[in-house]
Amino acid sequence: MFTRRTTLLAGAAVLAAPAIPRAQAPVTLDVLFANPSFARFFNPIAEAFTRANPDVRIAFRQPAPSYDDQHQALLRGALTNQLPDVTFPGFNRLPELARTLAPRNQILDLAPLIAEEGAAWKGENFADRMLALGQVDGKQYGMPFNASSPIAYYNPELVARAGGNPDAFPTSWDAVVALGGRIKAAAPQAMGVSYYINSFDSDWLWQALIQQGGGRMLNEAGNAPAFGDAAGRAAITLARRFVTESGMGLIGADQNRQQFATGGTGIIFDSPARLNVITGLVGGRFPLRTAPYPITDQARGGVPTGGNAAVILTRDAARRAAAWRYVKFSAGPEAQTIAVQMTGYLPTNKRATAEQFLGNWYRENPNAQAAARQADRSLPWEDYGANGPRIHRMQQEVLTAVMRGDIAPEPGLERMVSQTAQMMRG
Amino acid sequence: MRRRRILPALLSHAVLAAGAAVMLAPFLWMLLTSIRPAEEVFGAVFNPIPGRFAAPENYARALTEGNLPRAMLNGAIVCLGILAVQLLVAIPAAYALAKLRFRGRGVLFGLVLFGLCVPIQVPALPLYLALAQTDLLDSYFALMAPFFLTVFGMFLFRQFFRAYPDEVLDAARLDGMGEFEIVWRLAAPAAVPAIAAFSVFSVVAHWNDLYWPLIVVTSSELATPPLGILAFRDTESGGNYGALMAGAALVTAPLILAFLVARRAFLRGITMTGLR
Repeated sequence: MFTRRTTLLAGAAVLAAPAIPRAQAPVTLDVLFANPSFARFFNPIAEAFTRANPDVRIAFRQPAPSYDDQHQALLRGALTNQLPDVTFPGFNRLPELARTLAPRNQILDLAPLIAEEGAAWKGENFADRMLALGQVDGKQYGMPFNASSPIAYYNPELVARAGGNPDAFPTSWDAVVALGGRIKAAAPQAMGVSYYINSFDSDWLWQALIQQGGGRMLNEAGNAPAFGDAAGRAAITLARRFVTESGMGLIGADQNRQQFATGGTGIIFDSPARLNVITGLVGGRFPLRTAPYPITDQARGGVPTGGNAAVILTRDAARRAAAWRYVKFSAGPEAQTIAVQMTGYLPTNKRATAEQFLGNWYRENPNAQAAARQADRSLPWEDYGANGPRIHRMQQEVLTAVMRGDIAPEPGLERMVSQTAQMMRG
Repeated sequence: MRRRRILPALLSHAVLAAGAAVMLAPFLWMLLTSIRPAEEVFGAVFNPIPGRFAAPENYARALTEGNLPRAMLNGAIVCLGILAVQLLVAIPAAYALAKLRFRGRGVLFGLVLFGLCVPIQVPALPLYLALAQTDLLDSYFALMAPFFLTVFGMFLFRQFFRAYPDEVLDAARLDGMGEFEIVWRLAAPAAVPAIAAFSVFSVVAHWNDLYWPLIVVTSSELATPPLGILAFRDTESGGNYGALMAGAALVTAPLILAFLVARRAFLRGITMTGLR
């Protein structure tokens, strides 16, 4: 008995001996994220991670100014072998990035690593719909980290003046447009509703208007536009009605946020990631409220998900192992709690909404609930491929012309569909 | 009699003051925004004096939240490094182009003029690939190297040296001075106004440059001032305007101070070399 125990101890010591120096050999992960202001949650998450994993240090690169700049930096890095170990590309840039890097063996499929953690772990942490956002061509290249879908921000004082009920935000678009019209009538110098797809910096809000009606931007194969249907017609008609019936003026996206913050607009639609900033701009002028995005088609309708996913690019085995620990931590409830509290994003981890993480915070910040309440409506942010930014600019021009009244909605939609198809071909 | 002279003077000063106001208004706005809290940045009515004085918090955030102090130190290192090499190369080259007779001088000067027409975006790709191949990306050298040779400086100094009297040079040669000695002990001291003017151009351009640092720098330890300010501005979650403007004010301050110090020489340099 005694001898057996000593042998076991000795054996354990022998086994442990080489493990100690290996665990102490520190790994420094080279990490790139976009949007410099995200440092306010990337830094505390990295600190928390290093406290739990003292052998891994996180060294952030100079953050890229935007997802597009990050995308270009990554494509340059792929050519010159300057890729970071871990990066966080935007969901709508992930497919092109993965398809470029995968043939060069510069991006890691995370599915085997998730499988290693076990089905139970996967089930209790992630919704399938959430994980799907990180998949490209059937492979799990990204681990969803930040996620957001458009929500309504409204000024309850203007809503009340227009005879609406600030506690019951309309759940249909007809009611939103009608309420906007009443706000315009009650406060003629204000805009009732502003849905600024004419100046938003991506096609996210336009996709939302299509997807909520059950439409999709692309067909199943993803090689041709599919928004020329009834859902597309309803969406573009709605875009014009915001101007004609709800008193919307065609001004820039930032100007819209500023005008809303000064009390000059009743209702706007924007990313929940801007909740903290818009709350700060509003200050104490009025008690800002938010609401989930109205969905017309309850069966097929949804909202496009913006945000980013963690991606592992390093080829070195030891760094891959360390990177997976970091990625797992980032998508875990503790890190998600930090990220959600700092921005207003919705958590990508199911456990993050539990009482010990975000439960209390959501009660104290009811405006953050709007995004969380529509989490099960998340649809992918559809991507047109390499010509995406150009297609967005073209669509925005046509949308602006339709909203201004230069083109009728239906011919405008037809033009958008045919030009999108043409530009997708090359 | 006196009145008649005052009126045109008043008029011209009014025009100049209007121009100055147009140029200075954005800076004034920047300073005003940097001292107000977020909720007052966009008000329905504009009140120049903020209701709550937020300068301490905005400037504290600008200095601590990003890496602005480090970025400004980097900016100083990069700008001075570039300027030193530029002067070291451009002054002798310009002197040779202006005062020495040798075969191919016309062609070389033509190449300098040609170089003036090429923007940095044209050689950016080969420069980037070469730096990548030699493993020099993400270093001070990568930030500075493309700007070491300045055709603009050569052109500016040549115009200046051409006005320099030949008799003085001949006398110096008779006294046994070598050409390099002439450059550094006679021509360069005489060219101080041109050097000051060029220095302001060079430092301002590289201090404010965003294009090249964004491409070659990946680590935040090497960020230059514009990259440092970016920390407060982004399209995804909106910016913190107060801290952004505080950062911008901090980044602009050294340039304004440097200009005020070199103002006299700068203006003389511009007028003497016939550059507008």
